[in-house]
Amino acid sequence: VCRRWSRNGLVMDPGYLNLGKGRMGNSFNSAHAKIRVALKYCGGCDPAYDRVSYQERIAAAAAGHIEWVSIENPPFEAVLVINGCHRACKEKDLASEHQWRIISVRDDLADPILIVKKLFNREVSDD
Amino acid sequence: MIKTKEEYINSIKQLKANVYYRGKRVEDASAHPAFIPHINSAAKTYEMALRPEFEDLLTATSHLSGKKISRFTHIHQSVDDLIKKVQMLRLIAHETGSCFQRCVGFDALNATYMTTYDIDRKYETNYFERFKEYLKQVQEKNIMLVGGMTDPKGDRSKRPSQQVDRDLFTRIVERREDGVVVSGAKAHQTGAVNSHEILILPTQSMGEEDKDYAIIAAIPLDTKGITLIFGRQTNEERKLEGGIDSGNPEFGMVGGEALIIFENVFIPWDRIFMCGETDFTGILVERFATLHRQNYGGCKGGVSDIIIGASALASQYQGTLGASHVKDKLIEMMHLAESVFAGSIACSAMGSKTASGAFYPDTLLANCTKHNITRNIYEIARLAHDVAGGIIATMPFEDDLKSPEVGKHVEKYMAGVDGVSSETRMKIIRLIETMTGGTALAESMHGAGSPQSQRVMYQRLGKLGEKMKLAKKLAKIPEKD
Repeated sequence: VCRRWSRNGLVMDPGYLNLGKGRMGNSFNSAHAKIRVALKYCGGCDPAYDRVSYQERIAAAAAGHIEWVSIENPPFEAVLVINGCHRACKEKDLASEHQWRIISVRDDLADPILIVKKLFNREVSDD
Repeated sequence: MIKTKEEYINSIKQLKANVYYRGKRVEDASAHPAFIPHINSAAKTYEMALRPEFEDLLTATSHLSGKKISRFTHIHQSVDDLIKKVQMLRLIAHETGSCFQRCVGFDALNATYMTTYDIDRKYETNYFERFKEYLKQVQEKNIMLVGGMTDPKGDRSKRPSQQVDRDLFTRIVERREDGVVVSGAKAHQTGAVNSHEILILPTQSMGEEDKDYAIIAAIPLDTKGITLIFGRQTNEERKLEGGIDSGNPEFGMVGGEALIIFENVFIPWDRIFMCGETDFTGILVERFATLHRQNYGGCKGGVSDIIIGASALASQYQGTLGASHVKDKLIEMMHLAESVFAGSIACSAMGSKTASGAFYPDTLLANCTKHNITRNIYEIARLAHDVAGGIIATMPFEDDLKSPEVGKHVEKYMAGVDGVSSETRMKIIRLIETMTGGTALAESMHGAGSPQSQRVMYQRLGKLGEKMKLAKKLAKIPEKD
């Protein structure tokens, strides 16, 4: 059973995303092929955390299973939007202008592996 | 096209403008130690545009070419663009702790765009198309522009044409087949010694008798007849030393302002965007002022974030961060900083589309924002001095800390909490001193216009009559009373 991810937290069958070592493991061990994900940052006017460092943790958790591209370089499976705060300016911009599957983060609280699993799950979107 | 920091610095090196510092000609403005901190600040606008985590604010899509351009050369196409401008300014201020200079030219471009459109509609001139061609070049080359608004003004009780020395306002001295010749000066010109061109604008509303003073034109700063004299700032020669005593060693204190003198400078027609249309000088000045006053909650909000952080560190290093009065002062500083930022966002959110298609912030709210800057930034600085303590005014030199004879004493008596070196504590104290005194404060008072120029706008736009009507209505007073 797939449930959509809520912006306020994970609302999902706990076993559904058991793609890797374990749902909360440190790295992603998918049997799936590598996917292309577009990375887009908000402008970062007054971010509440280090956006670049968090994206690096997500990339590390993906353990090479994601090819990061820019949104000017389609095709891609999803767009990872890294917003610096809960105003999430970039998420709103992209969601209103495009049909892309958008996975959006607004803080660095979630375990990066959860973000990776979300990027791999085609039925999940934050748009 | 200038993309990188290195390309920008090299372009200034190539310019060979006639620049003076302390009475001496500067051969290479890109390499002069007094200018480097300002160059570093402006260079951040180029560097950051290339970084994916900042590009959303630092770049925009040109409505003329459809290409990705520096936001500093963009014409605002929406309320979102107006908001992004303010966010961008706060962001860059976090990286420099100082003015990065390009907003003045940015605002001059936008004000000129809107106004040339209006002039053409009335007079069937061709300024708007001419300006768009110029703008395309600016966007394509990504050059840095001085927004040349302020004239020296001489005797303020007299109009431009009434001055004893008529050069005290920049003016046309000759009209020719191929262009015009101007003389005069522009004062307080931010980023001038490290910019490529200046867009001169009339400094105030002009009457019919001031026709020669109603000119908008773009001039390369290495044009024959132009001289730039760099302005003195508080403690600026500490920057020549580098190190702790300069406070913010990599970046400037303010924008690096200069007096620019024009002695019979020729400008071809394709670079002239107003020439004698005095009835549009008032609206042009108001638009430039509004666009520029919009900025201050962004850049000064960002600079204030650094001052607040530095104040918290200073108190942490001396063991006072846990004191309730210190926490309260830091909270007050944050309140003041967010209040000015809120003003800039508000005037942007309430912006509207002009006839030219360009978007424009709410005039009254933009003026209110800048007016608050003339107060809140001084109060933030006052609180920073309070929190940091008298040491910001009495601390020994870095040379004393490094002296074989007295260094041990400085090290011993500059100590604060255990685990923090005296050198670390001295660095943060110098940063506070640099960012909260002298020229840094005066810039908040007078940049984008002195407070009286904002108060005038309340009289004009504050709708006092409507407010009186509202009060009468609630008090059940008849309209006629």
